[in-house]
Amino acid sequence: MNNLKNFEIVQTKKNGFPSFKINGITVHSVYDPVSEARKWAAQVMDRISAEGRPDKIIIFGLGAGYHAEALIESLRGSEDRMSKINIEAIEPSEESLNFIKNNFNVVKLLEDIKLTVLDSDALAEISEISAKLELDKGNILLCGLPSYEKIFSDVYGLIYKLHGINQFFTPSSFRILVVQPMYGGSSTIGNYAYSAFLNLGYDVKILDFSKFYDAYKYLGEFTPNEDHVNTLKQSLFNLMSEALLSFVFNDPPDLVVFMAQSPASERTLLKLRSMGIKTAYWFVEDFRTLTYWNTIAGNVDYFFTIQKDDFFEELKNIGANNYHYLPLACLPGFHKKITEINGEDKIRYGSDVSFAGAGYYNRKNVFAQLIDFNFKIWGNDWYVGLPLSLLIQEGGKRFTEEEAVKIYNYSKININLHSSMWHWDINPNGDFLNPRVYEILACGGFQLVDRRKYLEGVFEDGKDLVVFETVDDLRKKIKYYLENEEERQAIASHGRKTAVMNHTYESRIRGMMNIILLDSYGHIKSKLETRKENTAGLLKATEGNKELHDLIMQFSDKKSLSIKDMVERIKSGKGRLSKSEAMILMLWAIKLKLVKLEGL
Amino acid sequence: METDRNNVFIFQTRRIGDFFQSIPLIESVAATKTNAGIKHADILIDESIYNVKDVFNLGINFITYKSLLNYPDISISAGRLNELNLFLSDFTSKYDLAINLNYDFTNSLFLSFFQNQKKGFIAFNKSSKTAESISKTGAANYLFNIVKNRSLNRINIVDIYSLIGGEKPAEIKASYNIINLKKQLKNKKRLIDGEPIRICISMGATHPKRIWQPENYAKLIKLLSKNLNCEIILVGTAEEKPAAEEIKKNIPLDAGAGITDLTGKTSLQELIYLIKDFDIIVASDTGTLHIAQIFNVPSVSIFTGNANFYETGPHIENSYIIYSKIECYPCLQNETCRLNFACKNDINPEDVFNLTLMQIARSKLGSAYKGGRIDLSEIRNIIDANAKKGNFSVAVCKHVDSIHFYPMRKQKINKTELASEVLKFCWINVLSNGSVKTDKNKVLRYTDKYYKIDENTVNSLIREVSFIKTVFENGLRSFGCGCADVSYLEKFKEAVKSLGLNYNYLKLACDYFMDELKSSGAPKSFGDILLLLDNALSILNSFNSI
Repeated sequence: MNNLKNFEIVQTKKNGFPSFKINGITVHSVYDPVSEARKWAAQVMDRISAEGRPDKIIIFGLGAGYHAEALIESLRGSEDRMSKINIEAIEPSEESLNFIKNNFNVVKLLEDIKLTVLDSDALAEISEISAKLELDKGNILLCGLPSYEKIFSDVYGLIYKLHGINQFFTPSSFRILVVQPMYGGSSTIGNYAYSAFLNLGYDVKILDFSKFYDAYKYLGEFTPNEDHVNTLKQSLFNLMSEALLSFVFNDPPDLVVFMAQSPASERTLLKLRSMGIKTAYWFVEDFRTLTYWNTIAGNVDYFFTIQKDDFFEELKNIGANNYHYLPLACLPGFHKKITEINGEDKIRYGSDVSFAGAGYYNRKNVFAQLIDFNFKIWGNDWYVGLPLSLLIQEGGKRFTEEEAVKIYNYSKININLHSSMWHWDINPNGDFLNPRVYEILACGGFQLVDRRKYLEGVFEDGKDLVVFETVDDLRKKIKYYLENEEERQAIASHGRKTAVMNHTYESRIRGMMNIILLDSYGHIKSKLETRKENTAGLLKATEGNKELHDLIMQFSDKKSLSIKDMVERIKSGKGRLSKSEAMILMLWAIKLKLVKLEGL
Repeated sequence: METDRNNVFIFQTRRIGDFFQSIPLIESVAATKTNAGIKHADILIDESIYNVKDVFNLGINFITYKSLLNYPDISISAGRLNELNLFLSDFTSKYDLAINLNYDFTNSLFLSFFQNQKKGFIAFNKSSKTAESISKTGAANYLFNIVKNRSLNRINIVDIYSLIGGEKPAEIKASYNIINLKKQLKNKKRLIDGEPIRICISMGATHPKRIWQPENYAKLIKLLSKNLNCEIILVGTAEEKPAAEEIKKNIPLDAGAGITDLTGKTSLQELIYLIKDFDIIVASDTGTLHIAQIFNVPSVSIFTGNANFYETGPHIENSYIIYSKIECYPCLQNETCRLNFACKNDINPEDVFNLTLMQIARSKLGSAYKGGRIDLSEIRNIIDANAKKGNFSVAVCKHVDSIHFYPMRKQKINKTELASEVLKFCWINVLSNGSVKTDKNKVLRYTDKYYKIDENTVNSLIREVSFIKTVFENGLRSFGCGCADVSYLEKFKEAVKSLGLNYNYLKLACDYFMDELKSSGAPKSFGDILLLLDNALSILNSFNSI
C-alpha cells in the first residue's frame, strides 16, 4: 500500500521548528509551522462547536506534532469538559514514525495522546483496523493532516471510509434480501447466511423459492423430450426471476445477496442494478463442475467464491474484477456440541464411523472399502449394491440439518470425503472446503478429511482435524483414532475452538459487508443518511410549519422516523388529507414510481 | 372580465400515444395569445418519452418527476419534508390552471397542491385504496368509468382529454402551432412523380391482445408490394424486432425488396420526423398511429382485443378502422381471452389491403396502383361482400363537431347501440357543462345516414328512458336538498345500481352518477343525469317524427 519513502528535514523561517518532507511533499509549513498548526487546531475547534463534543479525536498523521500540540492547547483553553477529550494519532508507517522519533522531540506529546501505527500488514484485515482504532465506540472526530492525506492517500481513504461506516452505518437501517434457490446445499448455506445477517443486526429478509421445487420436478412428467423439459425449466426460472422483481419493487432492499442457483437472470440483475440496488452473488459451488458463473459474475456488483487461484484467473479472463474469496463456515448457534446425551438419539445416530452426504461416484468407491467398520452412511442418492447398501441409513432418505448435528455429535469418527465425479476415490487436486469441514468441527465432532489445498493455514492436521491421503491411510487412521479416544477428543475439542473462533458465518458476512461497504461507500452513505431521521430533530426543523409539526408529533414516542412510517400511518387513517399528508403520500408515490421506472 | 391564464400545468404521464392524443388540448390551452402575452404550459410527462420535448416550441416546457425534484437517488426523506413543502408551495403558486389527465395517484396528489384552478383527477382522502382517494368529476369521472364500461363509450379520448382540460371537444387541426420541427425538415417530403409511396407498418401495441399476427402483416405486405409502387417501412420499438423478423421471414426476397425495417433503430425524435413523411400508415392501436394523426397521415387501423376504436381510434376524418364483430369485442384489458383471440382471426389481410387501396385513392395517391385506376365502389363492394361472409366490420371517422365513428355501409342498429349512439352527443353536452349544445338535426342526419333505425327500437328506448328519468326526478325531489335520511339515500343508490344492471346501455351513466354524487354532491349529479336523459329523449322523439 505504501511505496516509501524519502524523508528530508526542511528548515523553516521560524527558528527551532523545522518541517520535513516525505517523498518531496512538505508535511508542515516551511514558513511558520506553529502558526499553521494553530489555524488547523482552530478549524478542528470550529468543527467541534458545529458537530458537538466528540468522545475521541483521531488525528491522521503525527508529523512533527505541532498540530497535535496546538489542538491540546486549544482544548485546554476552552471548557473544562473539552480538555478531557481523548486524542489518538495515527502514523501510517513504522518507517515514518522512526524518522519522526529520530528528528523531533515528540516524547512529551506522546504522553498526552495515544499513538497507533498502521503498517501494511495491519491493513490486510480491515475489521482489525476498526477494532484497533475502536471506531465503533462513541462519537469520533477524524481530522487529517492535509499533507498526510495526500502522501498516504490509500491509508487515509480507507480510514476515512471506515470511520464513516462506523459513524453513519447501523446494520438495522440497511435492508438486505437473501435470495434462495429452489433446493440444494446452497439453500442451506443461504439460511445460515440469513441467520448471520440477523445476528449482526441487519434488516434482512429471505426469499424462499422452495415451493417452486415441486413444480420444477413435475415439469418432467409432461414430456420425455429433454429439450422441451429444459425449455419449461427455463420458463420457470424466468417466472421466479420476475417474482423476485415484484418483491423488490414492492419493498426495495439496499443489497440483494443471491445464493448459488437462485433465480438471477441477466435481466433481473440489470434491473436491480439500474434501480440502484447493490447485488452480491455467493457462488458456493465448484467452478469446474458448474460453469454458469460466467453468465453471472459480470452482471453483479460483488461475486463471492469458495475457490481462488485458477478460478480467479478464469474470472479475470472474462473481464470480471469484482470477485472475492469467501469460504464457507459454521453457525455456532446451530452447529453445537450436544452436552445432554439423549439415549435414543445416540443409538439412532451414533456409530464408530459415519458419513453424512450424497452418494457421489468417488464416495461409493472409497466407502466400499470400509464395510468392516461399524459405519453408518446418511443421505440420498446412494444407489449401491450389497454389501455397501447395508450401511445406508433409513432407506437413503435426505437428512435434515438438525439430524446432521446429531450425526456429527454421536459419531466417534466423522469422515468427510469431498465429492468428485471424475476421480476414482480421492481428488488429489481438491482445493475448496465443503461446509461439512466447519460444521463437524463446530459440533465438536472428530473429523477425518481428505487432503484439500485450502486446509493449509486454516486448520492444523493432527490438531484441529486429521487428514487422510489414501484409502489405506484412511483405514489406518480410523483404526488408530478408534483406539485412542483421548487423543481423538483433544483434537475434536481444539478443532471446535478454531472453527467457532475464526470460521463462523457471522465473520464471513462481516467480511462480505466490509468489502461491500468500503467499495460502495459513497452510494450507501448517501442512501442511509437520509433514511431514518431523528424524530426530535424533525420536530425542531418543522417548528415553523404547524401542520407538519403536529403530524411528526404523532411519532414522538419513536426515536427515529422514516417517510415510510408516516405513509403507513396516513393510509390507515380516515377522512380528508391535510396538505402535509398529501405531500408525504406524494413523495412516497414518486419514490415508488421512480424505483419502478428505473427498473423497467 | 375573465382573468388571463398565462401559466398552465398539464399532467400527461401515460404513454406516447396518450401524449399525442392530448396535443389538441395542449394546443388549445397553451398556444393562444392573451392580453398578458402568450400562454406558457409546463407538461409533466413520463421519463420514457422525455425526448419528445425536442419537437415542441419553447412555450411548452417538459418536466418529469425526476427532473422536478431533481433527485439523483431515492433520497426523499423525512428530513427534507420542510424543504419540500416550501418548494411545492412556491412551485405550484405560479400556475393559473393545472390539469391532470391521468387516473394516477401520484399525479392526483400533486394536483391537490396547486393553488389556483384545478381540473381532472385530484386526491382528497386518506386511504390505502387508490380508487377511494382520487376524486373525479365531469369528464374525468366519465374517463374513469369508461374503463369498466368500455363497450358503451363512443367518445374519443382526444375529445375526452379536451373536455377534461378545456370543457369542450378537441379542435382538430391540420397542423399544430406548438409543434416546432426543424426548419429544413418541417414540411412533408413531397413525392416526385413515379416515386414509390411510403407506407408505414406499425404492428406493435402495448398489450398482446391488440397485436395482429405477424403472418397477417406478411401477407398484407406481399399484397401491397405486388400491387403498388411502394416502399414499406416497419417501425416500432426494440421489443417489436422479433415480430418484424417474423414478418420478413414470411416474405419471399423478390416480394420484400422494398421493405425497410426500422424497428428498434429509431429514437422517438427520429420516429416523429419519419412519421411526418409517410403517405399512409397501417397500424394497430399504437403510439405510432396516434403520432401520425397529429401529422395528418391517412391511416388504416386494425382494432382487436381491448382496443376500442370509439375510444382510441384515429381521429383524422375518413380514417378507416377494421374490427371484429365478435360479441366480446371490445374486451376489458385484464379479461382472459377464452376464444383464442378469435377477434384477430376475423380480420383478413386481403380486406386490410383493400381498405389501404381505398385510403390511397382518397389521398390522391392512386397513381401508385399498378393495376390502373382504383375503382372505389368496386373495392367497397368487395369489402362489403367479405364483411357479410366474414365476421368483421369497417368504421370511418367523421367529425360532427366532435370525433365520431360510423359504419362504412349503412347497417342495422340494436337498442344498446342506438342508445350509445344518441347518448354520445348528450354526454358531450353534459361534460362541456352545457357549453356545447346538442345539434339535434345533425344527430338525426348522421344517425339516419349510417344506420337503419327500427321504429320499435326507438319507441322501446323512449319508454325505458322516460321511466328511468322519472326515477331520477323523484330522487332529485327527495335528495336534491341534501336533507334526506342517509339510509334512504343508500337505498336509492342501490336502486340506481339495479337500473344500471337492468338497462345495460345506461350502466355507464349510472356509474357516473354514483361517483359524481360522492364527489360533487346531489345537485350536480342529479342535474347531469337528468340533462343527459332529457337530451336523449328529445333526440329519440325526433326520430319518431321523421
